[in-house]
Amino acid sequence: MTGWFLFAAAFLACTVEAVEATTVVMAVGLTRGWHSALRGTLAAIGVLAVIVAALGPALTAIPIGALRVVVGALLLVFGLGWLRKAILRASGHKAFHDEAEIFAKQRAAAESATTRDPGRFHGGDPYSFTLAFKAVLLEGLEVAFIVITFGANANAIPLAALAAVIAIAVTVAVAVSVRGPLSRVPENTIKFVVGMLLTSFGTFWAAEGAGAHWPGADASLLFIVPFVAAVSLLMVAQLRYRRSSSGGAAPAVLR
Amino acid sequence: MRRGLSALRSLGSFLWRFIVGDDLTLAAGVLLGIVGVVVAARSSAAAWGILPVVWVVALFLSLRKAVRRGGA
Repeated sequence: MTGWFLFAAAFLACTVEAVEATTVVMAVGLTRGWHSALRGTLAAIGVLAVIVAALGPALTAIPIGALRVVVGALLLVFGLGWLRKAILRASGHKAFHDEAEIFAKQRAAAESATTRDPGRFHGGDPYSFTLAFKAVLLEGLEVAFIVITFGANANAIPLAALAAVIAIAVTVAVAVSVRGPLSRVPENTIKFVVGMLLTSFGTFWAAEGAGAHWPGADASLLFIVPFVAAVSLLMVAQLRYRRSSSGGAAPAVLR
Repeated sequence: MRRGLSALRSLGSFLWRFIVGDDLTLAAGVLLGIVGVVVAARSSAAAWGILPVVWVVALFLSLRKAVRRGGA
């Protein structure tokens, strides 16, 4: 059961981050050429692989109690951050993440940017390289962290890594076939679900690591996940009501 | 020396943004909740209930603050 939750959380988290990174790489690649954009992407993937390879075994060497409280706390902070943004978006208090709009902005910026001195970059395009590198590294860092911590805590790093690899492969394959932003991916809804799963696992592990014993042990996740979902939806409803009663515009529909 | 300090400051700032994010309320709430569980776990079997209650309050406060600021 925990394995399925873990796989789903890692897969969905990787999918949304991969979609965001792919939008930037596609915009730069289609506008300024693929050579430097792909070099930047591969360089970032290399850095991420080194981080995972170094941190994964290091984390598994930490005693499970200490690991659970630290990792649980960090997952909970991340999860609540995702949930906070998702609730604000679903209740109409924050604009939805729009990949098509981001893609258009990145393309416009890439078209207007000049290359300062391509000769110093072995004939490549430093703008494309840097943008692709930063996008993949920054989006990938959170995913790498989720995969490592989830995997280490549940003693299932290979399963979490498999979920990440499948998510990235699917996203890249779809992006290549579409040759544009993946704006039809229900990114905001996926972020909501990932926020709920991270918050649930973070709550479970952090409390257990701090010395509490959940009734039913692992089975308590079957109650924690619906509890987090119910609290989140109640907060969305409360903020929507508050927005409509204060005369604000109708809340955007969660895709 | 100065470059080293600057790099250290940049790393610290990045880690702060990476972990704490937009609002300190959530991180502070999680920390408070864990301390509460550690203290309560010594005497009570229901210490597990503290963390969910504390983060619900922290999330509520953080959302209220964001709405007042205009959804940031």
